[in-house]
Amino acid sequence: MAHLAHYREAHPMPFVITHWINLVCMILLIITGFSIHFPFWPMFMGVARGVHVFCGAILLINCIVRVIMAFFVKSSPTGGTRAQVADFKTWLPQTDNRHQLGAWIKYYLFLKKDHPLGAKLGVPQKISYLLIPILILVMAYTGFALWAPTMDLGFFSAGTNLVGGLMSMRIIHYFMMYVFIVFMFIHIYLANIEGISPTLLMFFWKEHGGLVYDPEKHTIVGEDRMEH
Amino acid sequence: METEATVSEFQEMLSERGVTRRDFMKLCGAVAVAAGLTELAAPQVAQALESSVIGATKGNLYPVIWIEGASCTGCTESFAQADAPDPATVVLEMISLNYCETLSAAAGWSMEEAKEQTIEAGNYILVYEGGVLKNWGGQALRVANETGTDILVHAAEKANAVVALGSCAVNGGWMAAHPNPSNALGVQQYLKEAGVETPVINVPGCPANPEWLVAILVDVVLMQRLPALNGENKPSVIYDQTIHDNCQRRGHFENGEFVYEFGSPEEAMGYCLYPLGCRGPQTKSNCGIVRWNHRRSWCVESGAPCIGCCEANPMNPGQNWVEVNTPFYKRHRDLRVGDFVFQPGTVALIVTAVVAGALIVHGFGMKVSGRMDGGADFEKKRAWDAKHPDKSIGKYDDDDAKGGQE
Repeated sequence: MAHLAHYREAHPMPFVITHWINLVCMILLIITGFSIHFPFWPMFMGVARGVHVFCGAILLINCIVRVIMAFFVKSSPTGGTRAQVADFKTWLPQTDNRHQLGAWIKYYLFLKKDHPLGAKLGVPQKISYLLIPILILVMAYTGFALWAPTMDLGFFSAGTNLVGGLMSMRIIHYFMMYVFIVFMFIHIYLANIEGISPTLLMFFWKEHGGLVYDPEKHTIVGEDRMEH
Repeated sequence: METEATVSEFQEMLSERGVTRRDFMKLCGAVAVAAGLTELAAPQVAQALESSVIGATKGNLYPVIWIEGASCTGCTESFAQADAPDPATVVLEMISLNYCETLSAAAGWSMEEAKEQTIEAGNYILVYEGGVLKNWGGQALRVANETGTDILVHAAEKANAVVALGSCAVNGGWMAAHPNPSNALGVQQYLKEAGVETPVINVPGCPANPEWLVAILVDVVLMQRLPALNGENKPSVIYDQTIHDNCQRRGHFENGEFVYEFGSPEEAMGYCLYPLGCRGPQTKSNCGIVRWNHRRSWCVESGAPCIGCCEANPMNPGQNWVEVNTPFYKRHRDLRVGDFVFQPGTVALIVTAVVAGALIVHGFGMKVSGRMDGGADFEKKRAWDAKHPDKSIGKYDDDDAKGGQE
């Protein structure tokens, strides 16, 4: 047992909320999306279409709000500390992560025995998370290109033309959904395989003791057991 | 050679045929609807008819040249089923069909001469049916010592407009389907490459609905204007809405009442054909309004899911409806990588299953390596820092308590 302390400062309440919204919307979008692609539950079809468009819009708005909040809300740059910086800085390259990409990959592949030191988001983790807003934008674009009320707007129909018609647009939308599904598999797996503490913090704001990391020294400097 | 047919005086012509004024106004109403107007436009149509070439005492009929490209003549056959006005009326009294490989009674040298004279005289419409075959220097459609591509360019240059009739003429259609050995493409794209600026009216469909051509002829010949066209040069009134928008089974779609299998009770109840691959939601055409076979029925009404035969991007032969929509009864088209053909869903599922399997295997690795309880112990020092002590990222203090040592 060697994880860092899980403090609320790592995931301030606004981000707990946006994360919840992401989860609920994505799950509903995937279920309703499958249903729209092929009506497995016929009576659910009408509801599915409404929920799909609604959740898609919410997910897009939530994504934009989350990105804007990154400039106004503070969060911890690393785990194991209550210190905070402007959140967007935790999405840029950080000193704590420098030269650590190889170490992370080796660790995941069992080629490295000890856990790499790093920022709140490790290198592969940060890169994959940064792809999510881009993926959400692609899903919103391809989605609106397929939605009758918006499909004829020049901004969307030009894209439909470019990819070779609505069928191609549908398949792109469909494949991108699987990228989400694969991301969620990996995300849920990695977030929980070493213990459930990160999940309890992210969803229920429940703190957990552990090692203390000093963002100034970029290394572990002690332990906070929090009476465990 | 006489290239201009004439008609008797308009009213005389009508009464000779036992057509009352009332019948005439009903026809005008039908024509107005065919042109995408409401029946309220019947008086304007009547006026246009009366003052048009048909209505003129010794009027000239509008010359039309109809050329077969790489076609099955299915669009000609389809046109021959036009309802009102019927094809004989159109061909004999509305237009002068000066050249048509399928319908003309004459043949050979005299036909070619009639075409040449019509082109020289100008002020005509060219109807081009079938794909343009670019390979082999256009020799595939060589007629009367002229290559197929030259025939098109020659006839299109002086035309008032070219009607690309049927999906093949719009972007190659069937002809352009993989592997497209003849390098088929549509009229608009070929004429653009050849530098011909004659406007092209695209009328996709396999075949094109006869009423669509009649509607365009009504616009061009009687109303003396080109129909309003959308961004793909297709008449807006015909191609701006999807089959799904105007489908008579749409209510069942909204209710979640679907046909999953041919021959099922759901099919007998006329439920929505969406799960059987209906391309209505992505195919733009007014089939469900105009209908087919003398407006008796159409594909979806007769129980067949739409197969998207009107899908045709004029500037992209790869987006031909066959390529885009096969297999017809599946919700997705097939994708192709080299000779490997697959359904998108199959590949997506396999990739996802491989990832899930890899994670499960990885999970056993985590268990075996004892990382599941909080992860492995932290490294005391970054490996890079150990190698580059002078440029070390971390400021490691030996007095600090180190992680993972308890």
